[in-house]
Amino acid sequence: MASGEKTLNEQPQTDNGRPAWVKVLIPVLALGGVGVTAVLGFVMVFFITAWFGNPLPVLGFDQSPVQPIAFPHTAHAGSELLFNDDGSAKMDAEGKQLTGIGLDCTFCHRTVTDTNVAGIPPVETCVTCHRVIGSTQSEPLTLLRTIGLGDDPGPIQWKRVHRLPDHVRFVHEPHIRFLTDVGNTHVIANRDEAAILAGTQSDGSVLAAVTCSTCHGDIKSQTQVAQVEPLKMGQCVDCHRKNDAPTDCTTCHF
Amino acid sequence: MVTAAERVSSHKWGMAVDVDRCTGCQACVMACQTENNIPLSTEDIYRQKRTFAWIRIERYWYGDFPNVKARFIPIMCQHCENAPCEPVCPVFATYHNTEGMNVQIYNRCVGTRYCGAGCPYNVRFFNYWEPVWPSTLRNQLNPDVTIRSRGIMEKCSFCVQRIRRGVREAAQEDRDLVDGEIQTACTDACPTNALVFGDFNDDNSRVSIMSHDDRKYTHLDSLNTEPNVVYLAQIDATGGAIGEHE
Amino acid sequence: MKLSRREFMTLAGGSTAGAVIFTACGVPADELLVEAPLDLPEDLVNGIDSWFATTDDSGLGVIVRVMEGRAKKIAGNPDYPINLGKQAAHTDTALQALYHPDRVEGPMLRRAKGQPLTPISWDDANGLLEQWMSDAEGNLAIVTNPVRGADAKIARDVASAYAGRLVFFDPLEQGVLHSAIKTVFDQNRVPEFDIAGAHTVLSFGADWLGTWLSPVRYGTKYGDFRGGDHRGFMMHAESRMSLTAAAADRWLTVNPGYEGDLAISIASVIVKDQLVPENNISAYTANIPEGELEKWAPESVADRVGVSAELIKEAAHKFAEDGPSIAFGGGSAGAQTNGAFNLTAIYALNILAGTIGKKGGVQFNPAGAQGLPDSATGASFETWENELSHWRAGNVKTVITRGVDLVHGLPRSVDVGGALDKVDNVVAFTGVLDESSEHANLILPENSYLEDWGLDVPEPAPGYEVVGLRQPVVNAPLDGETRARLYDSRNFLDTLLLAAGSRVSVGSVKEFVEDTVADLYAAGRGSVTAGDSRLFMNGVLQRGGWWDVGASAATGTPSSIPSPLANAAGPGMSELDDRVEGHVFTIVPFAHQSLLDGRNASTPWAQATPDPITTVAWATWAEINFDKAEEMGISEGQWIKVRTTAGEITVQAYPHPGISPNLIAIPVGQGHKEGIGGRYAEDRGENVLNILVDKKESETGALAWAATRAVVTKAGGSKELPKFEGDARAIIRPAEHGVPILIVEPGQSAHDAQEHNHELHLRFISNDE
Repeated sequence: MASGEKTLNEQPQTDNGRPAWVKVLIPVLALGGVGVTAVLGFVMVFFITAWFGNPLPVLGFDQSPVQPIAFPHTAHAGSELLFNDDGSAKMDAEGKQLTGIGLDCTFCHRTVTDTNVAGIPPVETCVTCHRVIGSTQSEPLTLLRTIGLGDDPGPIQWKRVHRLPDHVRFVHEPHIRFLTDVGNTHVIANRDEAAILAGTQSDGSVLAAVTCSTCHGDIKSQTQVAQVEPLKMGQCVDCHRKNDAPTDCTTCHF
Repeated sequence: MVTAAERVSSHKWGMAVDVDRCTGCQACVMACQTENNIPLSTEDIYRQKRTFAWIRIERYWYGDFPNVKARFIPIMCQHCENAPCEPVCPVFATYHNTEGMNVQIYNRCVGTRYCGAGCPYNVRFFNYWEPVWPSTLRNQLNPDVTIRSRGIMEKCSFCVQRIRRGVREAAQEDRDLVDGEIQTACTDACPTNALVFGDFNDDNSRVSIMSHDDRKYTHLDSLNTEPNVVYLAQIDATGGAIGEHE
Repeated sequence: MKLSRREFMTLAGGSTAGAVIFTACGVPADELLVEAPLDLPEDLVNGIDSWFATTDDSGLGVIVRVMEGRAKKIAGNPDYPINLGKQAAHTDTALQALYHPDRVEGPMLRRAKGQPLTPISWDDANGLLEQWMSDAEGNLAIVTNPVRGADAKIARDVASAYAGRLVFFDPLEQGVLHSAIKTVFDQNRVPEFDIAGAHTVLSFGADWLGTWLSPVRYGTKYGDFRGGDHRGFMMHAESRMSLTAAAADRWLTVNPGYEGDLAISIASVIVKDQLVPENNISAYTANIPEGELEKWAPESVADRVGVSAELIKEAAHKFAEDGPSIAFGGGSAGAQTNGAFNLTAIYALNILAGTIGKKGGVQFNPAGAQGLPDSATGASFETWENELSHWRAGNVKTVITRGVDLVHGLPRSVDVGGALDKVDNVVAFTGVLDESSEHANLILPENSYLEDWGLDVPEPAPGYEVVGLRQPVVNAPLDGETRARLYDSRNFLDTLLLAAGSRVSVGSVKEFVEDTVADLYAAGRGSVTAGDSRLFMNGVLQRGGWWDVGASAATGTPSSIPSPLANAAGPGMSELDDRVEGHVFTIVPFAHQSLLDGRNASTPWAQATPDPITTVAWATWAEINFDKAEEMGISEGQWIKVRTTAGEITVQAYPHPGISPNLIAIPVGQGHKEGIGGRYAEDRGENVLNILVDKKESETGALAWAATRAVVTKAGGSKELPKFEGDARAIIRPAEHGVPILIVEPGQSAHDAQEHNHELHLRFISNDE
């Protein structure tokens, strides 16, 4: 056999006598193993978090989507001091730090006490105040253009934050009716004694706005609304059981 | 103080069907179709004998020409107290609730079709296909009723969406329900008032009164299913004519 | 492309993973949007429904459930006097007509006959229409379905502004009925039949519980007739088992065209046996020559009428002795060459019953409020022949059609298509393209009634003045993604008014409606009371109309009537051609339960509604007698050829026992060619109207649509009929009598009947073994 020729048996040898392709394979497998473990781990974390609470905010499961208009609930519903995004205090023209104006939730979400849905206010509702308050004025379209939604804005397409599956029928009205009723304040979750006290009427019932936090969390402190409660069936059923509400399946599923 | 749960379960919903009044006009069938987002029964589905009809009109022939008679009877889920469909469901997707209704929970259903096989009235329908509507027709779909996807069993719900709403609105106004206030789509539509819906727990309701009529009978009562749908027998004023039927 | 194995595996793996991820996380983005509109009317709150009252296109008051501007459900308007909250099988199909995927999207122009349609703008279309209408001064024809109220008034105004004419078209016309009512009662409107108050109902030919005039109104009355303190007795004479025949206690299987003879024979028994008071008999016989009536003695007519003498006598006794009684008829009884005689003879029976204007009898209707047109019927076939000859001669420059499909609805012999092609400008207002639109130069998309204003004067009216109000209840349907309008449709009359400009004093339909309602307010009576005219209008809008229970017509029994025998004649059936190889049948066309005369054929719900008698859906079938079919060797689903001198159709047979052996009954409504009538109706079934022979009713010139004879032969082959029957199989066999329909005799309890049935059943089982 002439020198320089290689036979099929003559694999390139490494120091410890293994073929070169094995040498490549080991790190590939090792990395692959790590990769697979990572992916599986991620999937597990995803499912576990999704099972017990809200899923990880990936693949469209963001609990706090960016809205077409950066509407701050802090300024409207809250009554605390306001800050800009960079942390500096938000000042008015006279150099005084602004506070939220503390609107009642039902000021904008008007149908919540009567019907299925809380209701997203039309732009006209915004204009009612913004004709005189803030940096924008006059008609709904002008307001939307000023906010930067283009020349031909049309309706605002808000992104839904709190949503239930298609086979669930949730009606706000009876929940608000129950929570506002005399003697049921202990059911209101995340409760802020001061707020409840402030919202208690002379007959012992409370204002609707105090009850929202039970499921929606402290919206008035959120600049971008996020879903904080998992709103899973278990949560609904627990509460229904505790408070003698119907637990028949067709209460919500039909 | 009545709790919310007691308020709901204080009713026993049921229907009374006066067969003597039924003309077979199909108004109930169409009204049900519209209200409950029932998938369209295409020509192919008709040929496969898998037609969706939560309420249907059955037609029977009696006698021979010229002494012949076509008679009609509307048949929907009988909401049996003693329902053969219920014990066979392995996942409790169908069960009897506290209001006298046999309910079907779509999100629990895994599509074994045991209930369909168990039902002697043939009023359960299985979605062999994903229901499809052209996008424009989807504008009509009723948002109060879940669309059943492929692999789910469905049937007459006594228009539970209307019951829930009626009960809730009465509670909201803090008053008792009035008989006739809650109507299902079919009873609403029926021109001759052959179909009547109401609460059997209310002694003065029309269904209660009809259920004490001399002509009252229940469909396949030898099976002891104890339906919550009662029928009033058809009257034959000409005598005889009780013959064979198909 | 050539794939290596490895590449294939990689791609397959990738796409599988992709599919899994996208299915798991596939939440359609647009379903997660909540729209905040610019401004929000109170009645359009997101997620909240509102019910609006309006009037549908068949004269019923309806309420429409609307959410976010979209119609979800139509139900009867409980306030409206005609239907009292009830509805028909076809009521909800208007939703699908509104959101039909094949609805015409915008105006289209055909530049020359035979060329394809091209989209044009509404501005151009309006310009053309204006031009064509003024070009046609003196020879303009506007053709619509029979309309009343504001529609009729405005359409007539527009037609007369151009010295043109308004012609109504109805494939199964009721002209003979109107003429008979005029002869017997001297009334211009169809009277109210108080079925609920009657103890005995005797009807002829008209399927009044199925499709005739206002089945919903008659249905509500029928319910009371059956369910009151006294269960009424009902007899129905018709040659096929219709819903009405099925509901009757006694079905009289009259031969087609002999309904008049049957009615007079019943009268002859009543007169001979003096079963009713003398006054009634003398009023009835005032103009009948002595001894004439005896020629109709049951024994002499039984054979030709097809009803036994005993049954005729029974009917006479029931009718005369268990009053109040009412007799009425129409439909196929009037659609004969002797139709006017038949119907006159039928309605004259009410004079013998002596119930005219009384409870349980015929009650007259007052004229329409505010002079609104209160009655409409299709022009007679004779008028149509004349009209078409004008078209064919080129005398008519512009024809405007709306809500009618002339090519589909008229017999082939008159060649409507050919006549339309001779007209310079044919404008068709339509929802979905139909057979006639093939001959139109300009297609204009028309609003659904859910998008329109209007006033209707219902017919039949309830015996007092009623004005139904129609209002737009939905927003224009939008595309889900682009938010663009799906259909650029407009109101038919508003478009005509725009073109007519100052020639017509009415500005728009809405304006006309508002003015008329203001006049009603000024009249200061009726169901709505309000402090000012604006509140009054709101009241009328909320209730879906206005009515005045006090404004009824005076009804007096006529002291004498023209002799019902004056024009007595047998029916003249169509000729047969020389080649008779097969069995001869008389064709009975009938309106389909949900498609009606075909106007609902485009909607899938109407198509999928099973016919009550045969349970067939989605197809055209031919009903023939069970025994006759057996004799001919025809079984269910077999293709049979039905040939008349005007043409032939091939349909599937449905043999059943409820039809005379010499008849073949075929429903109307299907038979659209490929590409016509929308995706749900195209290329489906056959159109029986096209093969009818043009026999005319002798007095009114109406089409005798039930007088065509046909030769029926097997066409070879068969196919399973799409039918509901057999879908719900009976589990328990053999079933007892009384399952599922328990039948009791009057006074018998369900329990007794069941015991009796059970005994029979046990005997049956033991014999079996």
